[in-house]
Amino acid sequence: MSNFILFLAGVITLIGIYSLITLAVNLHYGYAGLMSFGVVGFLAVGAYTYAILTVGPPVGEDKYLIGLSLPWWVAFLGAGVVTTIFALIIGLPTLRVEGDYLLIVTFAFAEVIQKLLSNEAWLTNGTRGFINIHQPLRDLIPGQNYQIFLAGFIVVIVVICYFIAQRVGAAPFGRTLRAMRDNEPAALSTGKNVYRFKMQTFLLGAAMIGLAGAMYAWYMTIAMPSIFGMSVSFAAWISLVIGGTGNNKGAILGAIVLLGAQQAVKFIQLTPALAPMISAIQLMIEGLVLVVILRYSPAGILPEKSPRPPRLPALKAREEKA
Amino acid sequence: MSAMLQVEGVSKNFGGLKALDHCTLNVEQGSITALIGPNGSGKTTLFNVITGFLPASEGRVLFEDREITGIPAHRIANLGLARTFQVSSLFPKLTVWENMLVAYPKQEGENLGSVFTTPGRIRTQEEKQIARAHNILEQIGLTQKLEEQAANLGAPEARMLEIGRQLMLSPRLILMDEPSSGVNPAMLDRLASIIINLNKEGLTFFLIGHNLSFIMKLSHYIHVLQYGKLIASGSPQTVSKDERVIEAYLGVHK
Repeated sequence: MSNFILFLAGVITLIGIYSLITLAVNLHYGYAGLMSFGVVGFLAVGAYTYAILTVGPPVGEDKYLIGLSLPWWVAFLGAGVVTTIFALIIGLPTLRVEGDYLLIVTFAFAEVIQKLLSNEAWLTNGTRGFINIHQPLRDLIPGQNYQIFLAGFIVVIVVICYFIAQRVGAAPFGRTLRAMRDNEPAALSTGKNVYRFKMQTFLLGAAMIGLAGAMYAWYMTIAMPSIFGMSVSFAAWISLVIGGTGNNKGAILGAIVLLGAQQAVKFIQLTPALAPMISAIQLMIEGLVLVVILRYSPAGILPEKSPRPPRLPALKAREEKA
Repeated sequence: MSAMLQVEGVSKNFGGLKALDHCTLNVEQGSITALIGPNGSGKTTLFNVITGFLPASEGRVLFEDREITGIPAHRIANLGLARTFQVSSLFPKLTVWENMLVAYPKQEGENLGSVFTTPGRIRTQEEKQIARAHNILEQIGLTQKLEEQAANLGAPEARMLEIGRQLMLSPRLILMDEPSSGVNPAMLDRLASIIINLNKEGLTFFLIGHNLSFIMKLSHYIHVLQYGKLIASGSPQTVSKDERVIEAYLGVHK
């Protein structure tokens, strides 16, 4: 039983991390219409920033030069800040131009980051990466209970980020983003500085993915180039499409459905000979879930919903009379 | 009357094509001025240059004696010079009331910091603006569709909503590119009376029109374009008798 609880804690942790990534993608694409495929690049920057800031000085065969041994919360915030700076550098040239340039550049960015992580060993320790990454409050909670604590801790962070995303989305800021996404010339004609809105959204989303990167490092306790492949970006995008673009609840629900389906595969009893097929089955499940949902609910499980109008004092009075 | 909008020697080249050729014209404050001309004569191009959607190749544009050539489109809109498009340009996934509220200027709630620090002030501003939007929607007959998605509106309603939305900007001058297109005859009268009423309240209009009877009835003053050149200007009566205008529209009588 305790094994099952630990498994469940691991699943919840992973779903929490993917929920946060999907929330960020929703902010980018669902609200602002920004096609950003650099998700995993930002995630890697966040994870590595956290690792480099917390890790101790190099020993033995370590190739990295900088290990700052900073407390976890400094590194956690640092992951968000450094990722935002990367987003600024990408956003400055690409958000001004129209069309699919952002998609191409962000896609390339993620690939470049993965290569940098392998090759710039003085910073990243090369293909070996970092192991035994420092987890927050690890010393206070001994043994296996820590997995359960970590799941709860990550859920709390995700809930906070969800409320931030909801607040931003429901505010006039979010309305203007959706307007700009629907019709950019019309947004210009209503006096909106489209570039400013795109940039702010791009940075906010990237910061969220950077934090998710640090959380991913807590969960994995390792950071190496091979775990930051494109499949991570696709999983976040598929989660968003399944759950419903332009809907924060949908983004989280999509991550739960997709990751839940992936993890459920682990319960299939197979002979040891067939066990390697599991990972292939996971990909099939991803595809199947996507196809089924798009067939029956093309806008996702929870489609975008416009908020109700603020009520007029005059209308209110009329309704009260009736 | 003084000139609210001055277009001085504006040219626009698309490669070898001269879409506008040294256009000079004025729109008087408080007037309903029209811009007419055959298809492809450069009317929409001129509107796009004035409103900052296209850069001018030559010449300059002044709005209320202030040069606006080269200023980005969104800033021109915020200066009080609004426009509508040839094909009604809405935010399809937003509801009618959201389309209206997107457009009011100086929104507190567009500032990410304020979203978290001063939600009360944002709410007050929103409530004030929804009341304004409601008044405009009453004029254009869309109060019943407050929570309808803009994508579901018919062409005449979409046109009305676009005009209503741009009125939320509180413009002093509004450029309308073919306001009568997509509008059925019944709505056309309503549109005309809306324009006349707003004009009486002080709003200046600059209209592009294909529907000549609609334009002739409304406008105080008309400019005529052909092949990117201004060929005539004057009152509807003078312009409609002008030889060159008749020629431009009907061809040369031999």
